[in-house]
Amino acid sequence: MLDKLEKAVTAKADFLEIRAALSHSSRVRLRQEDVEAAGSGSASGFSARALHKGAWGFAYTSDESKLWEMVERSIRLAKAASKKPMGASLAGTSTARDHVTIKPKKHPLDYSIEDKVKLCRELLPEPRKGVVAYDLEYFDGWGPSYYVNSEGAAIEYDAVRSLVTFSAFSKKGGELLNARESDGGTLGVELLDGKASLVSKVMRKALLLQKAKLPPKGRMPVIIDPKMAGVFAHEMVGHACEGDEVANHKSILEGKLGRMLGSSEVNIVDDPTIPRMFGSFPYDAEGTKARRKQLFKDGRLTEFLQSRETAARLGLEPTGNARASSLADFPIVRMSNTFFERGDHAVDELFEGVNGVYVSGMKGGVVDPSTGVFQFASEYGYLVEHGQKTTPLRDITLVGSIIDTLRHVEACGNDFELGHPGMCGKSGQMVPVSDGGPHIRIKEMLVG
Amino acid sequence: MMERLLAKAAAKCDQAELFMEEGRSLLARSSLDKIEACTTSFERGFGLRVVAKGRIGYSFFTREQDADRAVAEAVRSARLSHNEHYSLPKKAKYPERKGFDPKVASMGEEQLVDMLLASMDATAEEADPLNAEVEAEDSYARIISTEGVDAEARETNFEISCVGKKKENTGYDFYSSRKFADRAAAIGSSAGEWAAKGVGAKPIDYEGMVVLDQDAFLPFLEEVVLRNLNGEMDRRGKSTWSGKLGQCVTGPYSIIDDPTLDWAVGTTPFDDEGVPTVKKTMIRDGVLEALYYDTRTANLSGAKSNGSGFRQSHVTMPGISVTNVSLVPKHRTGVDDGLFVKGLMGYHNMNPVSGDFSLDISLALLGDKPVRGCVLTGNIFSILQSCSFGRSDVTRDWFTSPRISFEGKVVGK
Repeated sequence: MLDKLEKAVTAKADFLEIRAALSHSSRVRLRQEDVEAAGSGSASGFSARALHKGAWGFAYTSDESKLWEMVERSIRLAKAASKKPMGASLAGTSTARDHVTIKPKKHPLDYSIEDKVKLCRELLPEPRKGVVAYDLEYFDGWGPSYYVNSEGAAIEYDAVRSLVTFSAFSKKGGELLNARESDGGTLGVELLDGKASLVSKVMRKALLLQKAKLPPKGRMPVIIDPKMAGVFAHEMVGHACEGDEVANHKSILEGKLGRMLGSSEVNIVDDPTIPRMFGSFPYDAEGTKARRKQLFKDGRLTEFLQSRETAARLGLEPTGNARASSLADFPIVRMSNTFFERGDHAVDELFEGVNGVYVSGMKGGVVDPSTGVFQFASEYGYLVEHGQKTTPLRDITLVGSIIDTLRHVEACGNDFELGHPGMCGKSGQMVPVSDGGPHIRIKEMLVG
Repeated sequence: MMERLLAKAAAKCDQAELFMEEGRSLLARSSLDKIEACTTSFERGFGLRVVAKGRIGYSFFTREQDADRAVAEAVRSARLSHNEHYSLPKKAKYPERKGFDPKVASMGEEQLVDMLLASMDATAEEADPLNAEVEAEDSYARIISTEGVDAEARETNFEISCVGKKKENTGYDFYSSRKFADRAAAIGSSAGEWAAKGVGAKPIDYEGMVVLDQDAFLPFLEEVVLRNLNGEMDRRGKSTWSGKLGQCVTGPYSIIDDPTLDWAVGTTPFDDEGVPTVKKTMIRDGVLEALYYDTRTANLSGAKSNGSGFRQSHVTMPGISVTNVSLVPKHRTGVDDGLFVKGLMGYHNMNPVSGDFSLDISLALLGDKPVRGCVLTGNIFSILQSCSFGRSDVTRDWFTSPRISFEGKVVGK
């Protein structure tokens, strides 16, 4: 396939790249014991992106026979866009010619859909009084993807990605309370091994939510668990570090590179090279080799996430963070596995003398990178009184601004958890990511 | 090819249905005050659904050479599924609907680029252009089944969206229709005006009349009204209105779903299962009159599909969705002057059962004074019981409603 794509690359544009993929996927959805859906399918696609006099043209097709036509079309579209071009150019990167295959322990191809249903069913819990319903969803996707460009890059990548999510529901009054956990990674069917513990955790959480009360409102100390620490790293900081947001004057962090913005406890990383994580990849969608980025070091903003284009606009180096949701999508700057690094404090130490709230998980949230204002809803938590977790809480909302919150990070625990797979949405595109961190104590936040 | 594949699938199960979608899109996009890209896509995909002894199986593919494998996978998938005693929809006749505009289908990149530039120039009169897009789509779908369904429709979609920025404030506007409209400059201008109106916004403490613009009102309707009209939510006991058909459940207004409207974005002669779509009154003057059903949920609920089964794409099975929704008040007394709320943030924090909410104001106007950074609190169920409705309607995308006004409370942070 790479040979075929390289032959289609022409010199009629200032830069041309072609991406292609053939993917297979299967999905199992259980509602209690019943199989609501268990199916599989395949898809193929080809896209060409051309740069002409500082403007982009992009063409996608699901039909392989139209590949050459799409290449020509992308060039024609770039010419149309060059009527008032944004002056796009590409920062230099090493030209990779590589073939990366990440073999799972248990390849989905070796397991029938019947096998997958059986493995999912084996994870289902015993009925528990108070849990009114539960669902399990499993997904795996695999297949080769290809990248070539007019600079000579040629990359083939083949890996499997899988995800399992278990949800349980309890009721309080007329309200349905939902607890859920996911796990996933660049993994095969082995993802399902040992996941009974995840199911048990969700069942316990669903029952805990029945006893949970609404939180106190106002400004108070907040201790966040590794899951919420991941949300802070990704939602609060990561998006504002994306090079396109910075270059387009949409990030509160624009112009602040090198400045001390947080407390010395703040160390945040984005790293797509961690093996087997849900947000991992070896090369980005522009053929740049993926690497670890230190976004914050001891409270100082040290790096932004870049594509080749945003790196050129900002006069910085590409970081290998151009990603596209599918071949039909234009690559944009995205995160991978984003997390707070561990600190020096024992977790118990974080609670000492605290009167505030402990929050866990994420139910939803919004962040505006341009103003730095965010609002996150936690899945559950506890009231913390004199350093002890006491009353269970639910519907905890944290409101704040990025920079205030980073300044108020008082202490990071010496524990660490990375995972929490999810699909991150931006500009209508969804890409797999993960996040994490240690327990963190924040001096003061607005809780509602 | 579709007929051949359907026959092949039918030989291995009791019933089969093949859905095919083919779409072309053309888009011009700007970044700041320059053109970033022109993009196009051509996509064709197939979704195969089979039924064996009342069980549903499913598969999808894009390459015709994968069709045979898809048949085998769908049949295996049916064997695993729960026996729902399901049967595919029967043959039907479909009305003509106005949803295809040849002018949109024939648009070229130069035309889109010119419209994009016009929108950016209009935004620039009041603010800095931040992003804009103009997009033309031309799609075709066909559904055939062993039950005699043979439905096909070609539809277009035309969209313009613009964002302007002035100092720290952004303004947004958009237009969407199945029909072409020369609205690029108007939408660009509106985005610029809203960006300018919000400059210098400050938090306030306020008690008094609050007017919700349609952009701020729609998410409430989605969360506490449309969610509760979903037949699947009802079947799973997740609807606040489960078991309340025929009862008064909300304020004196009606919710009407109408896929017959000329050129509206949700207009379609049939749903993605080949069931003819019809105009439906879901709530009449506060009384719950109907729920949305696709064939599968209808079958499990002892009800009948009302043409509400739609797919996100050929990759997914049909699920319940709406077409064009209107909120029609029983009485229109007009909205009063007060704090005009253009946008709110954080709807996910609203309690859909109690209706309690506490939402950040992203932009509001008190007279000419812009307001932001404060919280509007209240209970949406109480508001919908007692609010005043505006005298005129606004249509945004698939939703039409008047503005509403009510006594509310805003707390500065």
